[in-house]
Amino acid sequence: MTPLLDIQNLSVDFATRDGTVHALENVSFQLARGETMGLVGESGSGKSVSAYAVMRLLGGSARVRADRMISGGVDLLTATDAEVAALRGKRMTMIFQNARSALNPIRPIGQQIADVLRVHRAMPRRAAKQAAIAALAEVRIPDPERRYHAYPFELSGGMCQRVMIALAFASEPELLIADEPTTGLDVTTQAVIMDLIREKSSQRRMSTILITHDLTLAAEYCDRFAVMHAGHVVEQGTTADIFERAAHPYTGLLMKATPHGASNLSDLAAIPGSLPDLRRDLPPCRFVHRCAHSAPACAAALPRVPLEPSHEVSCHMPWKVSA
Amino acid sequence: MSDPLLELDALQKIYPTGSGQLHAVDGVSLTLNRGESLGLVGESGCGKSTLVRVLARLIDPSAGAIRIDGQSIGDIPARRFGTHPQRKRIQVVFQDPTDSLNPQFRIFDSIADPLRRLGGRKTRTEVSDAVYEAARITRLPPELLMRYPHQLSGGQKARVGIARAIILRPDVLILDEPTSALDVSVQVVILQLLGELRETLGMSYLFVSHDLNVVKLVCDRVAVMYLGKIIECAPVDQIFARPAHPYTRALLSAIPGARDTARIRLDGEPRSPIDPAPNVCRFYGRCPMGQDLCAQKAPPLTNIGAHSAACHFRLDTRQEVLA
Repeated sequence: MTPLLDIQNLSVDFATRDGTVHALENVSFQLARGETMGLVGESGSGKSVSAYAVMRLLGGSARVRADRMISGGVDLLTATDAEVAALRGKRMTMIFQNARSALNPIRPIGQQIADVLRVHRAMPRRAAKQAAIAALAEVRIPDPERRYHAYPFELSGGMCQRVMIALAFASEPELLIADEPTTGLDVTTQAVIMDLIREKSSQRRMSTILITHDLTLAAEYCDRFAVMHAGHVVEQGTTADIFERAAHPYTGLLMKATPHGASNLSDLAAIPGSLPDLRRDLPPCRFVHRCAHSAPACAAALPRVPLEPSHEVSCHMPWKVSA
Repeated sequence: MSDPLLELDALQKIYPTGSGQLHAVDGVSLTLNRGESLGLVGESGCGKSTLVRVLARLIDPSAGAIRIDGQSIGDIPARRFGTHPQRKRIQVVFQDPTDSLNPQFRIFDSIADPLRRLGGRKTRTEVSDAVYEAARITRLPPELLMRYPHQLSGGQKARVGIARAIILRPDVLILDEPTSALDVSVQVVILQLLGELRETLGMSYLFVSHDLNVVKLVCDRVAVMYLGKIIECAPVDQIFARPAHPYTRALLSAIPGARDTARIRLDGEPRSPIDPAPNVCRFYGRCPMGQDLCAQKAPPLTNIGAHSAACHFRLDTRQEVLA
């Protein structure tokens, strides 16, 4: 079956005053219909840039190259801006990190949802209003008729986040990119929001990319994972591949830094070193300076080692995960 | 270990609003023992931050007492407390290290500021020595001291926040979500640093967080707050193994990765904190086990051993739950 999203060897560079930032290099992943993929890694590893590239939202300073970049049958490399605009917000939508600043501050939230319905689903004004109220109710906003007229500043962070989700779902997208949708929310609200995303994925066969640095959360909701470090996808596989048979040393370190399951603070270990400066000339493996298992072979070109049909790692010494 | 350092007695903070009296903190009695790390958890809007601000004496309580080593500090007006001798015994590490540092201050001055204000007369060398010492014990590279906040990474700014809080060697450190803005890997380093400082400097912590996985690792006892009230307080192992209050149980079941317990979904929003009915349990209406009694008589906080909870139907005394 053709995947909904097919990204092959995506590279993104940014031209800045201080030199060219090699933000992504040869990032490849596919996403099937109805599938949820977790995109994990430290801040600065390229998770959001990948998402923005897929949404074609990167600004003028970005240079995007790829062998293939197809979403829902549309070639994102050759499509015109108008063609992408027709796709964006309708067939692919994004939940942004900070909901309050992503919403229009001077337009009532209900109308913002109705706008989406009128533009993308050609609903008449009155029907759009009714559907927007239903959408607010669906994300469990109490008293949706009254809240339809509320402005973002009148709502709590958790409620803005839910409005953002209602907005993303309003056009019934095929692809949802959720960029840290629950960071900073209470665990209880987080659970409600994640359950909603899961419900939609199974009901409408919506595909989801969940960007997060919370591995424990992602493990609960994702079918597959891509682990990113310094602009590379260092490992990808099913949730079981990643959590039970992690093959890249970085994946192992990321898990050792996650508080869940540890009974003692000393069980946790920080990832040594820091991300390399992406403006410099980088070695083929961008993790080599932080890696405890690096060997002379690591200076050679970065391989993509298939371990199983579902599991792939970019490492010369897979499985050497520190125990 | 029962050596009370900080005692709160029926502490109350009420804000008058257009539609009534908002009970932000409503009769909180809590003891922080010497050398202890006490976690304070609860959803946003439950009054955690108001409690922190009353404790740090940034605002005045409406009623109730705060005592440190038996000496009352709750009745000193917030305006005067800034220069009060007791002021330096309680310090706060704020949530967002970026927002809480003055962007126009060099790091050195941010750290030196509390000392210059409260440390009594000091020569320049004394101040400088103390700042370098604070940087050393928080492992902040000394070459960063002459820089400005925007030149530092999130983890480095978190260290600055801690360095300036400990420079006066306080007895009580209030940590308001100290790692919520940080990456998992940096979070580990900061948590381990805090654990170490508590021992070497002999401080007591009030650790405010909504990340229960973190609280589990760094706290000796946990107090759970709901709508301005403490509804449960117990040693950390007990609260995780055997929560007594249905709200606590729901909170724990919402932690990502808590696969062994069935998720308890809380429907609806909390009751309004404006003019709450004094005879109704605050959790009534949202509580999965609420009964008529809960709407007639608000349950008081009662102790069973070291485990206190405010519920008529404590889960830890019920056989079917224990089984």
